Amino acid sequence: MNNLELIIGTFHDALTGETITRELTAEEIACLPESVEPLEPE
Amino acid sequence: MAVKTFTTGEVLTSADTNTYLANSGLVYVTTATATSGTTLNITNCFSSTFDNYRILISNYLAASGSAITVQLGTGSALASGYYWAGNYCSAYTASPTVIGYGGANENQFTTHIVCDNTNQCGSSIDIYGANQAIRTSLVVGGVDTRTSGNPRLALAGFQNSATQFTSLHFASGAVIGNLTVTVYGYRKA
Repeated sequence: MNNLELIIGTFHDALTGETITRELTAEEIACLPESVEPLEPE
Repeated sequence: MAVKTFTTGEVLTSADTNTYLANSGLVYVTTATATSGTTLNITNCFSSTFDNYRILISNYLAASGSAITVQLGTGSALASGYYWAGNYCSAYTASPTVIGYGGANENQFTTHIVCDNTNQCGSSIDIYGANQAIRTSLVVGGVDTRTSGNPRLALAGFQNSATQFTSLHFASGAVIGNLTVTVYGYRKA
């Protein structure tokens, strides 16, 4: 996550139907998983 | 909900329509789409109305080789621990080598669903007990539609807590071109 664009998230509320796009907070970023290389069989 | 057999000439009442037609089988909850950034967060999608859910991922586009991960949450707060899961996938060959990956107490479910920016992929996820005070488990089936890629995949796992989750969070390893997620609930009665 070394690019500002990589900390943008889309948030959708199923109750209201509202969708917003915003930067993630520091707390949200701290909970994000590490990027994982996908399985690639030979 | 029992199955009702209607007879010729019988009046279809509003009550029958509501009970037997409008509320049958899978019940639509919501659809969310991301076209930028790296995460898609769906809040208030799990409730006591349903115990089990079907999640459909369609038209997922992102930079090549990016795996998508899934986390459960409460509101906007992610549950970032206690995920146990195993994956496997194979190649598009007659006698493929099947490889796998497993993990305990990880920070997310790693689906290994893979796409690129031109070859979109889809996936289905069944989630069991998401809003119940029991372990939440899930089964994922997905595909890699890159012709240079590998058909995928199966993942089974659980989140080792009794948290009553209300939200679902996806994170891509690269900037998302498109990610559409539709949530359905399995009607209980």
